Formats: sequence, structure tokens, C-alpha cells
Amino acid sequence: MEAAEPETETVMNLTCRSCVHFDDDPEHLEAEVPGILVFGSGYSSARGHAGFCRRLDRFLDPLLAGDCPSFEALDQRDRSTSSAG
Amino acid sequence: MNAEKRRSALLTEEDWWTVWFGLAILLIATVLAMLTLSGHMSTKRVPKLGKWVSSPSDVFYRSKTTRIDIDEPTTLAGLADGINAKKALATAEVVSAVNGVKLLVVSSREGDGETISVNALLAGGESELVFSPSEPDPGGLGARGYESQVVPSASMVIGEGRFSITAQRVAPIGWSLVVSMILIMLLTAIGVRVMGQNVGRYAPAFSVVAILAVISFAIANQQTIKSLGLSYAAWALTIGLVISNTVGTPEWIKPGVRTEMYIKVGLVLLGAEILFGKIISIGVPGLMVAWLVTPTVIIFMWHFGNRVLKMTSKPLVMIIAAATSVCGVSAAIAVAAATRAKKEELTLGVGMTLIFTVIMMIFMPMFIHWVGMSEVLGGAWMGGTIDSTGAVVAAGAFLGPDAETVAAVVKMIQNILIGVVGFFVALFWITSVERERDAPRPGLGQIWVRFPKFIVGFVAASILFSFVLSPLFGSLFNGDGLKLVESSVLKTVTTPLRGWFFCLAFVAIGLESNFKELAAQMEGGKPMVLYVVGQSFNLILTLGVAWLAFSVLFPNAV
Repeated sequence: MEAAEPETETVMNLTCRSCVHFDDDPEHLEAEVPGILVFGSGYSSARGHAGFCRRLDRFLDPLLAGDCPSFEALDQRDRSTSSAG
Repeated sequence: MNAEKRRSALLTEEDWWTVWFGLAILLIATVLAMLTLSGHMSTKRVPKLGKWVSSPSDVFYRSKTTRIDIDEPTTLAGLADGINAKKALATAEVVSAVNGVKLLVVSSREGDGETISVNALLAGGESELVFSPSEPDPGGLGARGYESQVVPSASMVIGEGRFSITAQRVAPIGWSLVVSMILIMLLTAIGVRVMGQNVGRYAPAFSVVAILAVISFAIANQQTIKSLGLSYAAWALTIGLVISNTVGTPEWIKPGVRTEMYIKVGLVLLGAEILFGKIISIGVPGLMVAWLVTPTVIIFMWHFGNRVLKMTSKPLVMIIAAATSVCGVSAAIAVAAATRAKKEELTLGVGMTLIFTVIMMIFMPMFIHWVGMSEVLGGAWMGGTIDSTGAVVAAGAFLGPDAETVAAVVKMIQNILIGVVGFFVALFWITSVERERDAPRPGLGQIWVRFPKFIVGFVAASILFSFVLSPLFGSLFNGDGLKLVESSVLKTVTTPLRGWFFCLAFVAIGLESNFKELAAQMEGGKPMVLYVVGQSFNLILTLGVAWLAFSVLFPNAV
């Protein structure tokens, strides 16, 4: 766990979570996948840091995303106010 | 920076909040128990509903244990008057043995009336009436007249010095029920607020779910219905399903429909009721069931979907395989991220598992009961096969307490695999499916990120109960620590609260399960064939391994 944290933080700052196309809001996940609330939750640990890429129409884990030609940097203030995680 | 990030995860993940809720409840219950046992306050308990005999309002009355301190010598008749004066009117059994005389306080309640009598149990087991009411009180639990019976033992002086007796009385529980529900709402609202959800929408929605939970318990406590063996879990689910599939669940109630949160808090509290040694004894055969079958089923379904059915969407095959073999929606989300699935693939994978989870949750306990399978084996089978933790606990509750415990423990052991499966699927995807040489490799830290943290709370609660509270209570109050904790912490607060949290979860499952909407999410053809074949394989394999583990190798696990 200790060893993984620096890697997590570094990669995430460079990829999806800093991108305008990435949406990791748990409420959006719950709203867009019907029935997910019956036996699940967008806020659970199982989601990790994953979210939807609106540009690629994929459900992505930012840690597994490589260099992306569609990357567009998000204003840090936007991310800090729009993300719960 | 790391500390900052860790704090953030601790406050924003629902799993962590369920740990905080559970441990906070345990802490509060422990403090209350210590104050009670040291004589600083009367017993505070979270109410369970009473028995519905002739009127639904009966459920809002329940026998309640009261301790009465007697400071001066008194007679049996005088003691009975003392009980009366303190309104300790009611059912109960032997309350004390003083000077060789045992007191038996007996009360029965029919409708709104109550009768009470105090008997002296004399040497040789004979019972002698000491005290009885002149007539049953038709007005409920208010003041009434009693007449002492003139019997020899009534004049016997007892109580040379200070002593205490305990008696039980029938007491109204309406207000304590309301207060308990408000406290649950306030506690959970803290987490809801910090996670970024709207408390203003959550509070009224929670109130409705809580009222439905009370109605579920009330119906289950109806005398005739209770004799049929239909548990509160069945009624909670049924009431939710009826609303959802007839008038529909109103949108404004949905913020209170948080199945996962309620069930996980309940499971953390369940940890306090199971000695750590018992978790280990169930855990060893449970590991066999969960960890041998799960990877086997995933590999079988992957090959079946790709080689036999030749499905074009590989992410969909993997999502359905993981959802079937691990834990439904949570595994589907984890694997969808690992396989970079499209939204419709995730939606279809989730939809495929939901309807079958509801069906299995209802019919597996019926089948197990019908064939006469043991609760332990049945619980292990359901824990290993039903796709969701909430559904597993509900199905276990339908069957019985042993089934509930075994099913929950087996499911939690299986849940640990979410992160492991996510890690290996991501690695497999990059190296063998998409073959991207330059793509970042998943780190082992991912296993912890996706680890269902509520399991930490479950184990912590068990360790706390087994190795901290029991010895502490034993030394502080000079007695059997285990029994003291059971009677003053578990039975009064945490166990009834666990029941309420589970009931809230079962109502929530029903409220979210609209069969028409779930059916619309399903797709026939190959995904359906994959799920049905995979789940059938899972059912047979799990039953075989569960039988081997719980009936042959470790028959005394529970």
C-alpha cells in the first residue's frame, strides 16, 4: 500500500483525472448504469478511481491509461471542485 | 501528500464510512454498557418490535428488564408493592433468590389489557401466589389497582441489607424506536454529506425507507404470520418489490435507497457477534469454497464465451464472467475498468447479473429448505454463488441465523478477490488481449484500492469483541467477560441495530428492483447463454466444494 501511493498520485496527475473528458463522479455512474443501486454503489471501493471517458466512450482506470491523443488538460480548480474523489 | 491522499480516501469511500459507522456504534454501545454495569445509568437499548397478538399497536410494546434496588428489609408482599410502585409490571421469571425464596413475576398481556402476578417459588419447586391484580386492566399500561394475596410467605422478611432484583415489564417502545431511527439517520447523514451527496434529499428519503422497515418487522411479528416462518427479510423485500413494481418507487425516495451502505454497516456490526476463532473456523472451509471455485469459473466462462459462443465483445465476456463468479455489480465495475469496457458493455453486464441475483436470492433458500439441506451447507452454497453481498445476506436471513452467518462470511472471503481479479484481468488484458507494450502495467497497490474495506471493519469488530472488550469487562466487573459483553453491549444495542440496518437494506433492494426495467436491461442470445451456462457450472461446482469443505473436511466449523 505504501509503495503504491506515490505511483498512484504521479500517474493520475498526468492522465485521465487531469483531463476534461474524464468523469469519475460516482453519482453519474449510478445514474448512467441502470440498476447499479440495487446491489451496488458508485461510491464503493470496487470502483477504485475509474470513471467514464466521454471522448472515447470507455470506462477507464486512470492508472491503466497510457498516452492519450485526446487528452485535454483540465483547470485544476475545476477538478478540485467537481471531483468527490 | 500521501497522508493527504489517504485521508481523502478514508472520507470519500462508502466502504470506509461503513467501518466508521460500525465502530462508532460499537464504541457508543460499550460506553453505555460500562455506565449501566457500574450503576450510573439505567439500561439503554435499541428496541426490537414486540409481538403482534390482537392489534398492530402491540408491536410498540415490549417486555423490558428493570433492575430494582431494595435498600431495606421488606416482605415479599412489600417487595411486590415496590415492583408495582416502580411500574416494573410484568413478565418475568425468577428474579432473585433471597433467604431461600425465589420470586417469580409473571405477567401476560392480551390486547390492551395486562395481568400481573408475583409468585414465590418455595423450596421443592412449589409455587405460591403472592400478589395478583384485582382484574386485568383494560386501559393499557396506566395506573391500576392490585390486591395482595394473604399467604404465609407474603409476610416473610427478606432483604437483610441492600440487594437488587431484576424484573421485566411491558413498556411502550414507540419513542425509543423513533429516537433510534433518528440517530441512525443522523449518523449515516454525516457520511452521506462528506461523500458529497445531498443530505436534504437523503433525510426524508431515509425516513420513508425506515418506516417501511418498521412495517416489515411488524408484519413479521404478527402471531400467525410468525408461526409460518416468514422472516422480516422476506417482508422487507416483498414490500419494496410491491411498491417498485406497482406504483413505482418515487424519485425523491431514491437518495435513501442505499443497499450497499446499509448492508455493509450491518456486516461490520455482525463482526462483533462472532468470536474471532469462529471466523477462522468458518474461514478455512470458506476459503476453499470462495478461492478455488471463483478462478475456475472465470477461466471456464472466458473460454466458453470466446471459443464456444465466439462472442465478439471480449470485455463483455470478462465482465459477465467476473460478475457471475465473484460478486455481481462490484466485480462488473472493477473488471469493466480493467478491460476498458464501453458503457453499454458495463450496463449489459450489470443488467445480466441483476435479474438472476434477485431470482436466486428468492428461490435458493426455498430450494435448500425444500430438499432439507443443512443451514451451514446451504449458507456456504449461497455465499459462493449468489452474485451480491446484499442478496447473499437476505437469502441467508430467509433460511436462518447459521445460514446468514456462513453465507456472509463466505461472501466476504470471495469479496476480497475483487481487487485480485481486477489486477490480474488488467495484466492479462494488456499482455494477452490488447497486447499494448507501452501501456502502464497495473500496480499491486490496485488490489488494496479495490479491497472492500468494510471487511476490515468486520474483522476489527470481531477482534475488539474477542480480545479487548471481553477481557476488559471481565476484569472491570468481576464476571464472565464474554457473557457481560453479550448481555450489555450486543443484545441491547448492536444486534438490534444490525437487524434494523439489514432490514433497511432489504427494503432498499425491493425498492430498486423493478422487474420490467431489469428485464429491459437483459439481452438474449449469447450473453444470456454465457450467463446461464456459467452460473449453472458455478452452482454445481460450488455445491460440490462446499459439501466437501463444510460437511466432510470441516463438519464442525460452525
